[in-house]
Amino acid sequence: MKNIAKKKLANILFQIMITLLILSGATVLSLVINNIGFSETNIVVVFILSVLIISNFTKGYVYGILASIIGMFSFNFFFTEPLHTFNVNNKNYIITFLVMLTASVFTSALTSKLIRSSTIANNSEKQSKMLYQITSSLAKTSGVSDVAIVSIQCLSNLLECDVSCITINEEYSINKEYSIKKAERGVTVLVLSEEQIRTSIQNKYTLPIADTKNQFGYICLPKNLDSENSQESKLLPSISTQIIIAMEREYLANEKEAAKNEAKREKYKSNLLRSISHDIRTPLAGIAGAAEVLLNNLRDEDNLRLVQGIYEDSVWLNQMVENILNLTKIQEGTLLVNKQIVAVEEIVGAAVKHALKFAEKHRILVEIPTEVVFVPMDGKLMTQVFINLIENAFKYSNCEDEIIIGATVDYNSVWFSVSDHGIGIKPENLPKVFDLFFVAEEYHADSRRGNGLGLTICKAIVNAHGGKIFVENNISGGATIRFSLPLEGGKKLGKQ
Amino acid sequence: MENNKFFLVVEDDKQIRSFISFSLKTKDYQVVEVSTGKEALSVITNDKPDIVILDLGLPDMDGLEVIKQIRSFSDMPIVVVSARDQDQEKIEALDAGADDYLTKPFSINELLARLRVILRRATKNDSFQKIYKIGDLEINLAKHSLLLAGTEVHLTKMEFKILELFIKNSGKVLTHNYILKEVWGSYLESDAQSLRVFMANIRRKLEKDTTNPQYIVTEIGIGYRFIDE
Repeated sequence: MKNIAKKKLANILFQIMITLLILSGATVLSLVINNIGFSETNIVVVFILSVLIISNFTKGYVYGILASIIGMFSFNFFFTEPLHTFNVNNKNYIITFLVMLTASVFTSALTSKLIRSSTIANNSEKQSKMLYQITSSLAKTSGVSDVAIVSIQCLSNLLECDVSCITINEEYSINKEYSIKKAERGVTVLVLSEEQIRTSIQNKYTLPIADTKNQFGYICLPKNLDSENSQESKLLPSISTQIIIAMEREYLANEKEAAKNEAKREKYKSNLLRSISHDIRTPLAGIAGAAEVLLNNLRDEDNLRLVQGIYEDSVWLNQMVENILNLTKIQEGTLLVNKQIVAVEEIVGAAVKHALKFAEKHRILVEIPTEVVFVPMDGKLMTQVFINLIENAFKYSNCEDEIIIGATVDYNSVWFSVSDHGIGIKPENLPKVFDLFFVAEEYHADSRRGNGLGLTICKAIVNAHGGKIFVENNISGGATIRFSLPLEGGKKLGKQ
Repeated sequence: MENNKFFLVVEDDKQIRSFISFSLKTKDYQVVEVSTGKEALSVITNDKPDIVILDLGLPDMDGLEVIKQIRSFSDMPIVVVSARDQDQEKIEALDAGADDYLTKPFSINELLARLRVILRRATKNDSFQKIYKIGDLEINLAKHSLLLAGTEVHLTKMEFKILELFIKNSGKVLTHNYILKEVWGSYLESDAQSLRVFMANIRRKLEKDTTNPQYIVTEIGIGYRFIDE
């Protein structure tokens, strides 16, 4: 702060020197003119000219007005009778003095004003040039680091100080600091932890780079910047807006790129899964079919048992492949729900018939309303849901225990339930049963381990219908899966 | 034996083809196997098999096209075999005149049962028959009456019309479109919804357990089938 005061003082002294020097010059010139014998009018003009010159070389009105007054008095002192006094003999001179003073003051004021407006014009031209330069260099950038480097280079050029830009990458939590020193041209890049960011922006004048949603980073400048480069720092808000726009653009581009890559990866994955599943399906149908034919024709007990194994495994594998295919469709979003009005009894009946085909020992009790209930649904997909739920229930219970399928009509939806009297679900596993690839450790000894796809698919299908699905343990043992399907007009049709 | 029937198996997968024909041969049927649509059409025109088992996914031509060509000169029974994700093709195949369908992987016993039903229908196909006795049902087409275990069941005119269509096509899968065309003479979506209501009503009048029907079975997403065994 002391430095600045000193500078100011020196500046004032310098301008006063200029003023006095030019006035002295004018006085000397006037003395010469007077000695040669030219008229006093010329001397007045010389003084007015000196004021004009002074106004041109000094800042503000003060020196011009000061020069006018001093000029008037020195004219009085050196050139009017009685000489070398401030008195006046001839009263005419008073008019001359007044006119001279007024003319000088006006001249000085006009000149100062002119100079000031030209300075302002110059400054604003410079500013807009600067801003244009920054905007156009930012427009050419690509990549967050490029934006950061160009920003700090521009700012450092403009403000002639140390500048740094901190970029925040939340996804990978890699925060970088790009900094440039006043005297050097090179940019240093550092990777910062969050703690380091906090210390880094302390004791700095920081401009946050952020839009309404995201914080992209900060621009850090020296704290005393404002007072030093007042003209240039007025540009800071517009510059920071430009930097924010450029950063925003980069982040959006990054996000888009990331989403594109993610989609591509997903697509590869499901394409692979689908083509494998497709290729597996045909030979599996062959194996299952051939095993069944053998089962029909073999008489030897041991061989029969082996073939039975082949048959059951191939049927199980085939269901797995179907589930994988369904899952890839759900994940790709290509699973289309083709809603039609279907009677609840038809869908439940078809699912029960299908489920019992491969589990003849099990028993299923159906408790649905006796009057017909029509629900808009994709019949094929909902059959799959019931089959998955029933097979799941088989898996975790004894075959003597009944599986109960229920349906009740609520105000605007139908609630279905599939309950078993099996081992139930451990409380800590309840929230996980619909997760992909979740398989409970405990299952019935005779049944095959699940693949963790069935319930995930059920949930996806029910949700795609606008319904909800829940799981709970029964008080009397076993578990119940409950799900709803919205009615929307289906009920109306039933009452026709 | 009556099993001197002649089957044509059209399937491009060798394993599936061989176990189908093996099973048929163990039942003393005659079997010819082909793997393309063109071969199938030439066997059908030259040798006139009794039943065709047709895979919809053939290497050389669309299975649907094969059905249409067969139907242009013959009403021989056609049983379609298709992959699971060919639902629309399945409906088109049935609408084009296929008698039944099976989805891969299918149970061979299921296939044999379906073939039996079709063969029986083919042998006793008598369009002048007026009285049908199926299980506990006794239907008199001339008198428009229905007896269930000896007691008269009242059916509306429309319900009877639908039941008559089923009885005349017993064992065969009837698509929604086919029933609409035959009974209503239309394809309107509103009629498709009333069909579902009629079917629910008929089911209540015929079946003991609506979720485990004995006579009219729902083929989800496709149509209905009348079972007469």
